Amino acid sequence: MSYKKIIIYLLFIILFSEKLYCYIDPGAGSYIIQLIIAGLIGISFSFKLFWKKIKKLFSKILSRKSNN
Amino acid sequence: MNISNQILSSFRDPSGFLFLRDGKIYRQINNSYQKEYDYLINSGLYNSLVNAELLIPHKEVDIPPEDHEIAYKIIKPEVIPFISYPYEFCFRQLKDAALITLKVQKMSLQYGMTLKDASVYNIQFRNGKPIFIDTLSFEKYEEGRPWVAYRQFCQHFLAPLTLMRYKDVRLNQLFKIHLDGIPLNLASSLLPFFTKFIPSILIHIHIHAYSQRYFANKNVNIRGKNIRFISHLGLIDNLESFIKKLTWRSFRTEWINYYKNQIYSVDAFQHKKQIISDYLDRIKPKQVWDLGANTGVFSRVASEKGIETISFDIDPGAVEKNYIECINRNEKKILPLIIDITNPSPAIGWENRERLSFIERGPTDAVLALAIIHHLAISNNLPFENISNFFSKLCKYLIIEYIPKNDIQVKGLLKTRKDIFHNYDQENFEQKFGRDFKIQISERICNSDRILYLMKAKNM
Repeated sequence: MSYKKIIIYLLFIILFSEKLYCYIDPGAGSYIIQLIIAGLIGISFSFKLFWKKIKKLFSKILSRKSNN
Repeated sequence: MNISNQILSSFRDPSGFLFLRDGKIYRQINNSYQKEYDYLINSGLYNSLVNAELLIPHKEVDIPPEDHEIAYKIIKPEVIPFISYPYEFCFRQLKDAALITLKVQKMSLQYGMTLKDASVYNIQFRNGKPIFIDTLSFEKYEEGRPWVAYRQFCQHFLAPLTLMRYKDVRLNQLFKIHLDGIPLNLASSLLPFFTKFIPSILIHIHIHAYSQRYFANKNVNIRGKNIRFISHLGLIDNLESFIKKLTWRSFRTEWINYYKNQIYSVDAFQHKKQIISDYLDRIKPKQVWDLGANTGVFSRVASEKGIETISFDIDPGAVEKNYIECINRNEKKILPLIIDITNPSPAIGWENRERLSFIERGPTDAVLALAIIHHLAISNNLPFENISNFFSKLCKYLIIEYIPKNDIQVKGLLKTRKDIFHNYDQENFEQKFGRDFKIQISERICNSDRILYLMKAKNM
């Protein structure tokens, strides 16, 4: 399972640079992994939304052309 | 507070609780939930959810609260005809329950709220579709705060769905042992190795489980660690699109081709339907439980009359096929569920009262027990008196099919076992069932030796 450890470490270093303190419950792992996953997915989701807008724009332009 | 009236499925929630008064179910909303409840109503979220058939509708009622000191309001939610649990759902039912939870979360975010729970027990089936039933699960969304129910969603939906899809469809039975969903480390260890190459399973289950173990009891600072709104939406979108693509197609289970391999002639099949229909017209039940319903052919004789019909079968493939037919035909009166009649769902949870047993959810008006008596008596060695006694606890009327020993199905069962069933005959059947039931009418199915009985329980 060492590759999982590496992924977590890397993601953790990228996203959390300040020192960590204060005790949190065992659900902490879920909380932290959500921050990491959502951070990464957020980027691709932004692209997805952007791509949708572009497609919409093009389909509008194309339909206008065909109407003309 | 009169704790005896409180329904134990809701006692964990400090925002309010369900209680029973004069046979009706109410929900008390506590003062601590006032702000959230008012926001749910005033923001328009409640109306939008109810209009989209995502949330159970309720009425505010003016009755004395169950616990005066902490009461804000009493509401009366619309009644669910039959409460069911995830260990009784087929794959597609659990999938639909997951998707509706995500839809509710997405709509909540649009209105500035979020789900604080993503429990599968908050989903019930009404009019053939899943619906969210916990009006007190909503809280105000705080900018940047991660989804507090993410872990629960993975345990209650994602883990069982992926296990059912990639390992074995019967693994939803793990819900009977794990009340708060399937632990992610268990799911991760049970899932086949190749699922580590499926990105959504890798991150939401395998790495998630690892992360839970890694950070347990570690000192970490989560202060100021927020997620952007777009990332929150992205997370929900990712879960939704992954679950939408999950399908379970293996219909090669034991009972799925039962009707194809049937021994009935077309006439006998139609005659059997007709007799059942006539019996139902005589007794006019409001609700029917069809035990051993297979894909629900005879359940539909009842449901098509507008009778609430619960269609139980042991076989997940048969229940899946039945449920998909319900969706395709937009049927509102039939609910297929997985139940093993010889080992029905037990009462589980705190004090064994959080989730009701199968028997506790009855009695019902009428039970259909068609072509199962030989399985109970011969395959499971159950004496007629025990079977009769069990049915008498379940219903007022029993429509039961007697299958004689010379029937090809019974002969099939006896091929592989010694015939120790010397009491398996019609006379003994009538005598033993006669102790708990009054036999009202019986009729032989044409072109067969099978007999359909209509009986009325003596204790009801």
